[in-house]
Amino acid sequence: MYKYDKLDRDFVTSRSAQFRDQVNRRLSGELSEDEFKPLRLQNGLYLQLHAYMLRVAIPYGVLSGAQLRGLAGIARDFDRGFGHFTTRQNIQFNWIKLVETPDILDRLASLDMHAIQTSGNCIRNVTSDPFAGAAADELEDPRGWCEIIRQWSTLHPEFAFLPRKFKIAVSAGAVDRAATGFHDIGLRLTKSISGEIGFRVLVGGGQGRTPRVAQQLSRFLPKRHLLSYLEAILRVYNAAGRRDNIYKARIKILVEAMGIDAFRDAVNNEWLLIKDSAIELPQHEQDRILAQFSPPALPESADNWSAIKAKRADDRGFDDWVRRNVSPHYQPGYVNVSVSLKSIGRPPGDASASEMEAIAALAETYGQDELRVTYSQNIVIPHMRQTDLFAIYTALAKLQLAGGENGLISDMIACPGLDYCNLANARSLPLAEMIFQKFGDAKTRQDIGPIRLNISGCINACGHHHAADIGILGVNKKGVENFQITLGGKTGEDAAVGRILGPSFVEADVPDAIARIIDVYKAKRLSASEEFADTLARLGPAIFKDAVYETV
Amino acid sequence: MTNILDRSKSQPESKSQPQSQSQSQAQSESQSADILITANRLDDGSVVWLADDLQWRQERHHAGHFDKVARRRALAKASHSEAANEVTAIYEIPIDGKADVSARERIRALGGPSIVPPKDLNPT
Repeated sequence: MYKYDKLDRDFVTSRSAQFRDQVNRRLSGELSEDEFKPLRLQNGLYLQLHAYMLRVAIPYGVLSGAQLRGLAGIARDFDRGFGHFTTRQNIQFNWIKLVETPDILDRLASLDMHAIQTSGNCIRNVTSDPFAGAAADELEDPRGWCEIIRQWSTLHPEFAFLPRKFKIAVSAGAVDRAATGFHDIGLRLTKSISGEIGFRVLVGGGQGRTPRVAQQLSRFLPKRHLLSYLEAILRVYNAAGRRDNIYKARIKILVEAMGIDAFRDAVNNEWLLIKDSAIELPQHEQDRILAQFSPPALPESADNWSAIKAKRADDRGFDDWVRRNVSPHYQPGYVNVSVSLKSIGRPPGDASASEMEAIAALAETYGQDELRVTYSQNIVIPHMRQTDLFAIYTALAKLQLAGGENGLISDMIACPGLDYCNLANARSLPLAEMIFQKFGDAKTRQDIGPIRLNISGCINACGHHHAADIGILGVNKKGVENFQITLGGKTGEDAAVGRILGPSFVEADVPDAIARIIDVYKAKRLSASEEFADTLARLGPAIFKDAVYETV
Repeated sequence: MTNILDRSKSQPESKSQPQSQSQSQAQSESQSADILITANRLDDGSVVWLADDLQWRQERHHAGHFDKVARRRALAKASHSEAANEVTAIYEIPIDGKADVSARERIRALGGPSIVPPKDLNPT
């Protein structure tokens, strides 16, 4: 993990002091709300439906046990004892007092954390694969490059007032677990024909009201040129991106308007001016940062799958959990464990302070004191011994966090929706609960198998409904919460935007509509191993639409 | 001083969002219907409503209903409170059986979400 040095600590501490002064000036009236709002947003502080909300950056989703305990402490001391993990690997606190925010930022600074650039028209928290540095299928650990991007983009003077917000994701696994195709810039570590590792650069992806899958800007970018190339992209966007219409201000609109080839030409022209200049990261600084992500020294550990197999045969819950929530590690004898924040009665992605502390303790006891927040709003504890799996499962079960839900219909991504958000049209969270209840039997969920169901409370699409096998979008229909269903969205190499199935439903009818879709899938799949996405691709959406809208 | 009918200032934060139907109705119909006036307290963000006695209250059932005659004084009070840095994000809600009972305003009036968040087992 990256460790703050004195420069980093001085920076976040001074930033906190600066915000304390700004808050005092706002409370005294020296700053108007119009003057203060961009300042608080640049520190992650929104005014939401019920109160102020603070979004704290978790860079590329990586946390230590102490940091997660610190976040639990903030939830307990300054909020109502819980936090909400987001698709961009951040955490949000919903009941923050403006007067206490400087104290929270001080607390964050003491944890080597901050809330800078979690809002505003700037480069946001860079996101990555939650298994980065621990996956079995990884070309190279991408976290060092994420950290380099974080440091480059933090308070970058040229990119503090972009036309709109800007999101970058980096992934290095054989499977893209960071949704790089739905980011303003997606970086995929790849290998050239000569064996050199570099970046495949995607640009212009995003969701919202104009969902677009990112297009390839560069097939192979040598790693040493990362910062100059990013700088060139951002410069083109900063100069040519639209500022006259908020709905057309994202880079995806610019790329589409110019065409990818013309956009590439513009980037290359800009890049020629700065390539190999001082903008490139010096080798010694690159080495210093990457060295902080050296693999942990893991002692040899026995591979005990036969013992685990015997336990799985005895314990259905353990069997489900191992199947869904345990994933391969690069070192034999080790695994990565996903802690599901999805269960009946729990808003997706929410965790209480005591749960955060207990999960931190597991990482400290059984892992390498390291945790990851995931795109799908769960928590990963990497580097766990296989021999400890049943003990870890037992500990999680005591916390009621041992659901084997990863990748199942219950593993819904959901935005806070109208229960918290000032922008939402409809509530996501009660609907997530209703759908979970509809498929309340664990055996049924396992039988359905891998599927992604995401819910957004408005067209801003924070719940990533566009990128789900089954997407649900909350709309306001004559003052009543209604929900559209989309089918066929995907992340990964073949990222795609889901298509609207038909007219919207009132909330009460949505779970049955989803059940009808699932019934068609189960009836028509070629075998139990054909996943929902494959059946949908094979059959097309019409048969699902007919089932959903048939009148009985 | 903020125009309290200008919801673009008092509502969305950062992201793009057209006014919802109920919000549009709030603007177009607020000239004729009685209104509620609501805001957030500046220092802690709490939702408050202006009561008949022109004091800010945290419970929706204390919200005053301001008719054409009363609204001028009420709006003046709201503007004064904003200028005095007591409240922010002021807006009015027409009592028209639509905007005032919209899902948004019902949830806001609850003072919290309609679901139950996870409970901290070790509160201080």
